[in-house]
Amino acid sequence: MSEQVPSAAPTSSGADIPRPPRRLAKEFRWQAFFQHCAEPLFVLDRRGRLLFVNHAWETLTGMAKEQAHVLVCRRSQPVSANDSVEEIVAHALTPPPEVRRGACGRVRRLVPLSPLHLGGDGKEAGTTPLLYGRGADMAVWWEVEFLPLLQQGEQGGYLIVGRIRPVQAVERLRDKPLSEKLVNLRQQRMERFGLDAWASSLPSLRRLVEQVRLASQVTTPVLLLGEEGTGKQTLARTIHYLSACREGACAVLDCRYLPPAAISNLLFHPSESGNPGVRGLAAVYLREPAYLPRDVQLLLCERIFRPVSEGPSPEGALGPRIFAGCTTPLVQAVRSGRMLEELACALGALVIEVPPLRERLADLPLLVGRLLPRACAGRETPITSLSADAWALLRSYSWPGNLRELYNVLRIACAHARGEQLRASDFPTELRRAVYREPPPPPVDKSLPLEHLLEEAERRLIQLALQRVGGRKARAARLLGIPRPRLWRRMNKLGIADTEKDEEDLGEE
Amino acid sequence: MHYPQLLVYETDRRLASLLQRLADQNNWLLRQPRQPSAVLRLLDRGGPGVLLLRLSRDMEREMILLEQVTWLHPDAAVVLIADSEPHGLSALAWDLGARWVLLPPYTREQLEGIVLSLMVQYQPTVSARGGET
Repeated sequence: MSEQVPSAAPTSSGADIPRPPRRLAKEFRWQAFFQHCAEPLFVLDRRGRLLFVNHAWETLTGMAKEQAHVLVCRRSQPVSANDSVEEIVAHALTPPPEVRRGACGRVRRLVPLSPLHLGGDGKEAGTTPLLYGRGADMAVWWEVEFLPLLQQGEQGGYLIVGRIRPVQAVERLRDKPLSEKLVNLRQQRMERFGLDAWASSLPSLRRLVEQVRLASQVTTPVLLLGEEGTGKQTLARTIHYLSACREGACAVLDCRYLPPAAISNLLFHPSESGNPGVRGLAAVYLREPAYLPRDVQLLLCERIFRPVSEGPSPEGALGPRIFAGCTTPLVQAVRSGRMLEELACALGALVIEVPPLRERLADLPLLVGRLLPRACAGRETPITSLSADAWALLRSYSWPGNLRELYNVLRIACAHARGEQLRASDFPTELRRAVYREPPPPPVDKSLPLEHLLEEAERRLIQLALQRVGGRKARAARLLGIPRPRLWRRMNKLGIADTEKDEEDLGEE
Repeated sequence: MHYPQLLVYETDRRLASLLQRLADQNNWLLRQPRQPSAVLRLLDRGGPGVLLLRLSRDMEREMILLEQVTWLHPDAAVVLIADSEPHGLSALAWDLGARWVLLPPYTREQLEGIVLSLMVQYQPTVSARGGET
């Protein structure tokens, strides 16, 4: 079906052949690249319309390209087996928000299909045309990769090239899906965990963001290391919601305050009564795994090294992905005998250190700006600013409880505040007492602005050269290996005073 | 003395009556708010605690409350308890920040075990720094 040539297609008869319409011309171009690729590929325009699908795509979906061209892939609501083929495919190929903003993305989508095509003829899902039918109760996972391409010459225009990879995991759909309102609730929650919340000018935070990006691209366990309240759990959720498995859920299990037997049953014995099991779970964040008993640690080790097939997780490793949050380095936990060395090795594949708040005091205005609307939710008059004394108070405190303490303090202050501005007197008495008692924290983790450093180095070199040659600019320029006009320009730019009258220079001119 | 509070949000008083003895033994304040706004108000004024959220037939109200509590009061531990298991319910609850999900059939011992473990963190010695951000 994909080999039919449209009537407007050019032939080999000559140059007087009418040119094909623009859309068809574009399609031919994509055909030349992708038509005979073995992998299902497609091209979307900025409105989500399918401009091109290749032969493998048609084989996978069972849809002809003429059907595909009328699809608009902008469906955020989940689909069920009762939806039409077009709706199911449109949902599966809808680009996630970051792709629409111009970044590459990968997402895993549940695609309901008929049980007739799930090996009834001995073939595997994803390798035969998948014809969907009403009343179907099975689903496969598709991993869809999106690559946005900017179009030259068209302002703001872009195309998205996509690739589908069927994941060989099949699950049975039970009951009716969640209501639209609940699905939107989850979507809203997911959108709260973005990298924007970690934007900063500090090098340590920029490195952290890059590590988070990297962690979202792989499926290895991640260890988040940092003091209490630095946001390790938030980071784990951010990594999960940026990853391809974001359609699955992320559970947070506090190993300190949950019964070890309950955690063990949840992860390793899902058939126990009262147990939600790992069904639908794509990631698990274990808070302080050193508190788990050694037998559970051992089981966890085995799960990481020998994963089982369950849940919508990465291919091969089909158990939930493990995130761990620790306040002490793993070496210490192993030395003290609280953590098995094997588990420390398994969890330490990718370690992300989260800096404490006292090392990011330069970010305080940003952090307060982000937390303040949440802290004053429910107030009749929202808080819009902080007074100068309130800022001074916040900057002087050492924040041993980190972001969690900052949020709690802002909540208390918002409850006490009158008007639209927070004053120092609105903050808890303990905080004010602590500030007056303790000296201000030493400035740590200074930023390293490259431009400023380069200018400083240049200024110093020019001053040294001038000093060595007694202020004669021509000689100083020769010493520095630059033309004299350039030296003048740099001296003016850097504000280096021309103190001496240089007769030799005048003579040379 | 600031007693840790155990909030039970349900349509009948079944869970609260099951946990009354345990609350008395451990000096917990057992509260049974009937409105979502009352839950938020109690967490605002009474400090963090454990909230048992039992799903009614129309579970939207409880799930929205779960989302609000875990977002605005990250120190509070919310346990979701359901009498049935609609598709995707536990996954949604985990995503919305529930500390635990209890699905049928569960025993009284399981419920008490979870509540006892979670309440440990709210003993009076814990300062404003405790909990999760």
